[in-house]
Amino acid sequence: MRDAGGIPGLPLWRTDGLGPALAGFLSARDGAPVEVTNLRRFTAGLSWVTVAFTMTSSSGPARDLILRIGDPNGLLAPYSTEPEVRAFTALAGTDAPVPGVLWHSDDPEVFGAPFMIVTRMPGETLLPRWPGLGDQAPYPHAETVAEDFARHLATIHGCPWKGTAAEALSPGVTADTCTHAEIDRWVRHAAGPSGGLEDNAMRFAAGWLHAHARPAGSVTLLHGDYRVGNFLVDGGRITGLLDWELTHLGDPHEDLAWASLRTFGGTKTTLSGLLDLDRFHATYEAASGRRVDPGLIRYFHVLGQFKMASMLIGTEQRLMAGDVHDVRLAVMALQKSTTLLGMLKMIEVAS
Amino acid sequence: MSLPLKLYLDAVRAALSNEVLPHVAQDHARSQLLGAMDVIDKLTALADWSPELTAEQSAALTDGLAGLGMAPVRNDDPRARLAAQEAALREAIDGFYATADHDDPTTEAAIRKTLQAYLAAERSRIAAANYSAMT
Repeated sequence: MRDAGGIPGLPLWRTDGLGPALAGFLSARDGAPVEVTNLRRFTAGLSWVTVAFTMTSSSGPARDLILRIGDPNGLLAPYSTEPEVRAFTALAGTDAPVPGVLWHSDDPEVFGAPFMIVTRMPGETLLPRWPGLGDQAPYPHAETVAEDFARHLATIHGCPWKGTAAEALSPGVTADTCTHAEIDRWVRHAAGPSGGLEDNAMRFAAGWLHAHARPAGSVTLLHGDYRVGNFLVDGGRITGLLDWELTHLGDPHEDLAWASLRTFGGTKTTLSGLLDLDRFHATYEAASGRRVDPGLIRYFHVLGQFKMASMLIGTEQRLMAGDVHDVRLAVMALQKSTTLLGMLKMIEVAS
Repeated sequence: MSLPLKLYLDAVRAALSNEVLPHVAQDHARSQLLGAMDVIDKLTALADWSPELTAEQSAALTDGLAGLGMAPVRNDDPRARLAAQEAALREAIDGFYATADHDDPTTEAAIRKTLQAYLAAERSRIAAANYSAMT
């Protein structure tokens, strides 16, 4: 890992050395001296490190940009920029609000980890409203945001990915294999020292998911982490779709179910306590021409919770290896029994 | 609990030492933080999961395995007995889904209920995390 000068072992992006390194990289790319100002790291995420900054160069006007770094200690490490870049390329020309990628590389030489520099989209992140926080006023932009959220998902799912760079997101998958491939991906993520799943509830769930998987009605481009918290809102409209690191090809119900998981504050009638669930589904059906199958939503709730549990088991493995730099990973690991019980309840409902 | 308690305390200790301490300049706050880290250090050598948790998990598996028609596991050491019961349940799960005829809702439900009872023992001891406060 690249160190900041004089601070062995500390990654560059956690030191004051990041600004000069970023300015040096941009100057070399721009062919002119670049000044980096307003450097601000966002602390909420546990995955990619996100840093906002302003780039000023004699070659053009000042630009507000985002640097994202795939921290090797992040929740879903190891990271690659390729999936997001492939998805953004496939979606170019659609009205899905995705950032423009200016530079990206998986080479750790520049910042010590994979990175991408993208355009900064306007707006603020909308956070889930968790049950039990007491009575609150309804979210004033619930209708327009729910409509945008559904329309943009229809656009993603309608993306003609065949023959594009996005085809390599899930090489060779078919309607018969795409869901099994996604189950296996998260089995691998949660595999322990034995090479397989070591938790009995996870073994049971993996068996159940494979046994009850149905061929996809169609194989579409998926966001992979489509939920409240992963988009920007400005003036009551969605202005940016974020966090595409889990993008892949699969059954569109996978994204629909993920968006309504209770883990993200979802209830029987809402997405994350904020957006009307029926309105979201109705708008999606109208925009996409696809029918939302409640039985498939229940099945993919199980797969979604299986993915959540797999991530928590990943945090356990970080604890075992002693490479935790964020104590919130330990907090997550302690939620494993809650997450697994939720998954078993979902299996009960879907059976 | 699949991980030793010590690992969680080590993670707390490391976060305080590496992520918090360098940013605490006020003398009294710094003394309190160093004191808290010292307490964690001392307790780490003594900490272990509750033996009652092991007993409850083992009881849940005793009932569940019996319901699945499996022979009881005998071992005088509670932890060794629990580990053997967990291995027996794993065998039952793998065997169920390895057969071509796993469309057996009754057995599937019996395995699920056994897992739910086993996990409930741990869940009852750990409150939900308030992620909102941490973001």
